[in-house]
Amino acid sequence: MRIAVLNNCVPFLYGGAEYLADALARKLQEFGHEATVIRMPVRWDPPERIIDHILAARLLRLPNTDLAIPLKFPVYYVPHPNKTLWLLHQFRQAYDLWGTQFQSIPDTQEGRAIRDVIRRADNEYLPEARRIYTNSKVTGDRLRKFNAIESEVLLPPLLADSAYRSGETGDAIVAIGRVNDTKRQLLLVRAIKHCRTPVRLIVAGKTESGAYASAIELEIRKHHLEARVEFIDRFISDEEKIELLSGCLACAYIPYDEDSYGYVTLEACLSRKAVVTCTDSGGIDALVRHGDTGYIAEPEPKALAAAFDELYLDKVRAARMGAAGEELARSLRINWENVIRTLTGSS
Amino acid sequence: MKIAWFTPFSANSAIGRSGRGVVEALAGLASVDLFCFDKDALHATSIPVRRFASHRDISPATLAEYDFAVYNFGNYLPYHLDLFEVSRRTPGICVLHDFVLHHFFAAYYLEHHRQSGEYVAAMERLYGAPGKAAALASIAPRGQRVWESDQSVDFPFFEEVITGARGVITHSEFFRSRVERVWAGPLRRLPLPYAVERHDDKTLPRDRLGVEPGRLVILTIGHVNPNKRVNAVIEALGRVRASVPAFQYVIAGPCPDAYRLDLEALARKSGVADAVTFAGRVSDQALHSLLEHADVCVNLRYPVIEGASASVIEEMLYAKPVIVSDVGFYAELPTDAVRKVDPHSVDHLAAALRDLLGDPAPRTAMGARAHEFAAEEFRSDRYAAQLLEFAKEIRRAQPILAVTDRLAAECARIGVTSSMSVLDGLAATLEELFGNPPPSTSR
Repeated sequence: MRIAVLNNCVPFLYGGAEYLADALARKLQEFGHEATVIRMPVRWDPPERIIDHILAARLLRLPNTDLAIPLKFPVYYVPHPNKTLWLLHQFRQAYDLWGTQFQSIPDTQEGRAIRDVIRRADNEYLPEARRIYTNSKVTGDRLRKFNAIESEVLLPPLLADSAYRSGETGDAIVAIGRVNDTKRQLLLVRAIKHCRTPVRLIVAGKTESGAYASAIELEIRKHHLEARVEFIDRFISDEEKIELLSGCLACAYIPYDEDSYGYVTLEACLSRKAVVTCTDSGGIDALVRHGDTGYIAEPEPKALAAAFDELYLDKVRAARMGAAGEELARSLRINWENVIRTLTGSS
Repeated sequence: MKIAWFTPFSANSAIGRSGRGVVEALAGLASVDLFCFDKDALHATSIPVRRFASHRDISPATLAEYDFAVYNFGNYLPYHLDLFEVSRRTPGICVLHDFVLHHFFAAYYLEHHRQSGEYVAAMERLYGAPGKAAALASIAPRGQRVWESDQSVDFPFFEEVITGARGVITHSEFFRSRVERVWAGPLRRLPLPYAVERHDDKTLPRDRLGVEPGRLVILTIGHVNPNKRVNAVIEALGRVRASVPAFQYVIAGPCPDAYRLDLEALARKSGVADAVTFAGRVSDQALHSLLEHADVCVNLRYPVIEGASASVIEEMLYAKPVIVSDVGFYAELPTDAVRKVDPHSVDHLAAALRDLLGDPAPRTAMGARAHEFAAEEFRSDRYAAQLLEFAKEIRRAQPILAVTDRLAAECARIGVTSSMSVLDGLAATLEELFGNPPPSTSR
């Protein structure tokens, strides 16, 4: 089939969705399809522009294309008779983020009208897709709650075919990935000072703001945690990541309200390591079952500390959780073959 | 270019009479077929005529071989119902002969479809809450009917026929500017084409017309309605009678009995009963003869419901001095070719009558100028050439209109309303993409 993967782009910005779109096109090609990524440039400011983009998407046509797989608002409005939506996210500012600090659209008469137009556009146009999959249960629940549209979860696999392996159960909790306040690494550092065991923490990843890095470093110095917390503030290569996960006690991933399960969560499972997350972290619970494959703790330093201590004190159980995590991940068939077969309707 | 020309073409239709010259001129420039639904005798023409019993007999496929359908709209349901229905299915160029189409749509919704709810909904859609309120009053027992009152100019309903049109033609600047307020598509004012054939050998003598010898003839033609201001003319004549030569005011056109009785009473009160003649509906020959014999024509309107006036043009082509209301299409005529009066002032009208009845020189001069202007301005051949040029422009603009239509349809689907500023942005973007380029500053 000739397949167009549709994504937005803010020129010169490249994030998770862009990686996923490129990986999907690459994998489609590996499975014998002709595939390309088509990106529609967008900007969200001023808010009236959002509606321009909705209309621009509606005016687009995809000739010579057998299947369209859009990933995001508003490119998922592009008309095509054979469209399978793999929804990463709607325009959340018009939904669950309305009324929060992330709202971005002003709460004026015009702003509310724009919000309503976005919701109505989703209601009108999303059902045009023949099949709708979401990248997480959270995304699907939101679609059902706000738009009364049913979908199925199709978890995105890891982008690279890296060989994760399981090594000895070590003494350190590792937190790998971009470092910023929504990923809440500072909360992990604060948890360590409440730990009763000598469990250690390794925060590894590039910080997105100097202020947040400084806050972590200050917390470490202030509570004399230099021997307990290692902060590797730089890009972590795949090899380093494999190594860190292989020999850790467990992985911690506690973002605030994230839709997806988090790649590092799956990477930890494939490394047969338990994962600690929080009750408000969102879609991570696709892979973390409390007491089974890891811990889902309250987003409080003491609650996290208790989980870390329990893992440290019972490494056999920690290893068992890791094994259960791997089994769960395999059972969920989070792999490209499943994704390609599902999206192309050949499964 | 191939054109399907939809028009009432009954021998009684003024629109048909006006259009006959145009299609014959058009036929020299393009291929034209006449489409009509008339049941009775038609104007004679050399153009191929395709007669249909109903709009249902014409499918979009019937019209696929034509580049354009041109729809001539007027305010009379029996003449325009079928062509309106065809225009809904196959959009074309709308020629608006009447500014007020309320009578057409009131009859369309309330009598033809018997759907008062649709009438109210259309009034609300076009005019908001005031439209809805007026519509509800119109359908209430003993309520004020919009179409029977001056309110009709506030709710003219022409918007309904131009929705989705590929282009719009009006015959006056005032109407063009009114359309422009609510419609952004291709729009053109073309002077209403009209021609008269004067045959001196067919002119009846004055005594055959009931006109007394030695009197100046003042003439008003057409259906007698309150908006023709015949009452004001009678009043004004009463005021000037003592100061002008003897006259006879002939009103040639059908008049409801009750209204005629009112006017006759007014004439008695004004002291001109012996000088006012209600000729009723007259034959074409009698009308021609009256126009030949007339010394002054009076052609007033208030309010204005026409897009232009064939009767004024006809009077001008007969080289008559015409007194008109200084409003609408009439106000756009040259000041030396007609005498314009304040539509609300009987004094103004009396002064005009005094000037024109009192001295033959200004009558003759104004009549000559009227003929000179009208013969040049209201030419069918020029109209045909300009219409064809307009059609070519529309064809060039078609991709832009298609995009605009698509955007409008999507906006409607997702609830973007006219009160949202996003529409201004869209309009600006369309202007940026498709508007005229700014004048070059180089060199």
